[in-house]
Amino acid sequence: MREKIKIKILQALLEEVTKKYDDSITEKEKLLQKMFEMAVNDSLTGLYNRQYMQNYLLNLIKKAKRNKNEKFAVIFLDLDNFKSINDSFGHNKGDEILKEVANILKNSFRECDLVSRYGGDEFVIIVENPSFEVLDNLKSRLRNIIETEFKDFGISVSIGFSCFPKDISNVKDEEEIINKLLTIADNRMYENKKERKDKKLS
Amino acid sequence: MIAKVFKSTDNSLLFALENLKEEIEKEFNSFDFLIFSVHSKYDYNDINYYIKKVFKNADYVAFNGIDSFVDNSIVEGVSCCVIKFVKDGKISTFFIEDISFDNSLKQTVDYLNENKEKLHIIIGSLGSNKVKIGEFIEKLSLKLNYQPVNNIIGGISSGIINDNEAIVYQYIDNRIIKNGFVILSFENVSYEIGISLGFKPYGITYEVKKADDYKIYSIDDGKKFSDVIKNFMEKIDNKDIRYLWYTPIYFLDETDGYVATIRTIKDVKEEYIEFFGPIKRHQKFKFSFGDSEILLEEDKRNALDLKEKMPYPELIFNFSCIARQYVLEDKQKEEIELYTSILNAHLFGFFTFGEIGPDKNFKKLKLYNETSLLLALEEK
Repeated sequence: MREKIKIKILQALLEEVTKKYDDSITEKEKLLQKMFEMAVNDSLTGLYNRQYMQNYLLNLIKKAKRNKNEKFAVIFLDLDNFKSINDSFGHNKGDEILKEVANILKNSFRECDLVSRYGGDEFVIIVENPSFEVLDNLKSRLRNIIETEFKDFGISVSIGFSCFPKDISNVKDEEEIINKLLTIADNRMYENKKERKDKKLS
Repeated sequence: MIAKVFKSTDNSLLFALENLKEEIEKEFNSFDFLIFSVHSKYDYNDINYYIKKVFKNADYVAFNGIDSFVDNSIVEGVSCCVIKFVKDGKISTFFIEDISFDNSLKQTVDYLNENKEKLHIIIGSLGSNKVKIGEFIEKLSLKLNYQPVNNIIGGISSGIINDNEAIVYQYIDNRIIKNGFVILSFENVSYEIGISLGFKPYGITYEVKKADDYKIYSIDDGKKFSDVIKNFMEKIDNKDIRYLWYTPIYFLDETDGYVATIRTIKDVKEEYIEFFGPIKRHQKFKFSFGDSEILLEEDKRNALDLKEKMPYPELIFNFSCIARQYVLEDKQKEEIELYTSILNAHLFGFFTFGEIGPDKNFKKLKLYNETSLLLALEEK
């Protein structure tokens, strides 16, 4: 009688111990996931942060060095008139708008594209193997969506992009390639901003 | 020291004591001290009266023991350890009738600190609802001003429970001590202490989240510990709590260098699990398992270690938990047989409701559960 009970006790003990191990593993996995998210995500918008975007770019460049057909685009997007939102409606409203813009961007790109917050009201999107027609259309499509969504606040967007390998010639250092791609996209975004401003004034 | 143990199972306390006297007188012309273990089936009001009637002016201490150990026998009656010193050995007594965290704690601490050279055997009651003996022992331990704490050992008296009153008393000097303890202090003796846990810890560590007194309410991130135990009992498919004594919880006292204390489950309630000893918040524990083979193996190792330290003891005391006896099943006697055969001395002891002794590093005093404590001594 006691022997049977002892076997049951040992089985129950084993089950309890196994369950506790499982719980502990799940907890550790959750913790690791949370730590990973904290390390790679922008805390306000939930988009990838600048550091992660730059690491992602670095990997893409390395991949492209092995595969000569690899192409990608770096899109630089800046919100126009965002400073006035913070000044007029307060930072909470500004944060709310940044979160909504982040959602719009996430929904406007493919899952395989990387959408990140570069800082402030600037966003960088990396699109692999893009069709350049699509990129051109994207500018006007994104501008339309954002202008409509934030009509009451007078917000618009300026967009510029650089392309790999098209915009990079004779640069071998990976860090330098990253800087160049970002700088070109940033400059083009400013040109775009200026063009639209001039257009408005004329 | 000449020491010998005697037993009687006569159903009349008077006759049992007279039997003992007759046997003792065959072997001793005189003696210095008598220690009685008396089953709680005898009326506790009669114990002092009959001992005085039969043994006249003898120095004695008596306590309730649900069963006592007399050499290789487990006795459900009255047993007596007779001690006669032949060199400079002495026994004195100290007692507290009602334990409290003020006066009686201070008196005990002062007594033990003043008598740190002596060996103290403490036989206690469970304490009161206000102050339980386990908490008293822990507080006492913190106030001792000497190290190592290797001179205090004993157990909680054991007995049957009548109308919610556990008959687990001590008897000395015409007094019945219900909520206190008696200390037998030995002078000019050499001694060695052995601690036998036996249970092996298994699996991953839990942390006590909410505890109070002798109870655990929740563990880890707030999970109800009673749910864990109830689930466990469902799997065993038996509601007899005693089956959980095969798998007591094993506390890992990391601050003391991984010294373990076992806690045995006393009761399973909806909101908490009650144990036979104090529990503290943030203590870490594992489940453990033991059966007679594992326990006896550890007992053997314990006795052999003791034998190495003291090859020829003149008397052995054993304080062994009643729950441990349940786990030993039909091999209860083998524990004391092992001790007497290895140490080759007379053995006196009893089934306890908790064992009092030092931790394995001799830093603190603990109230143990499901443990077997062994004391070997010889007169200097």
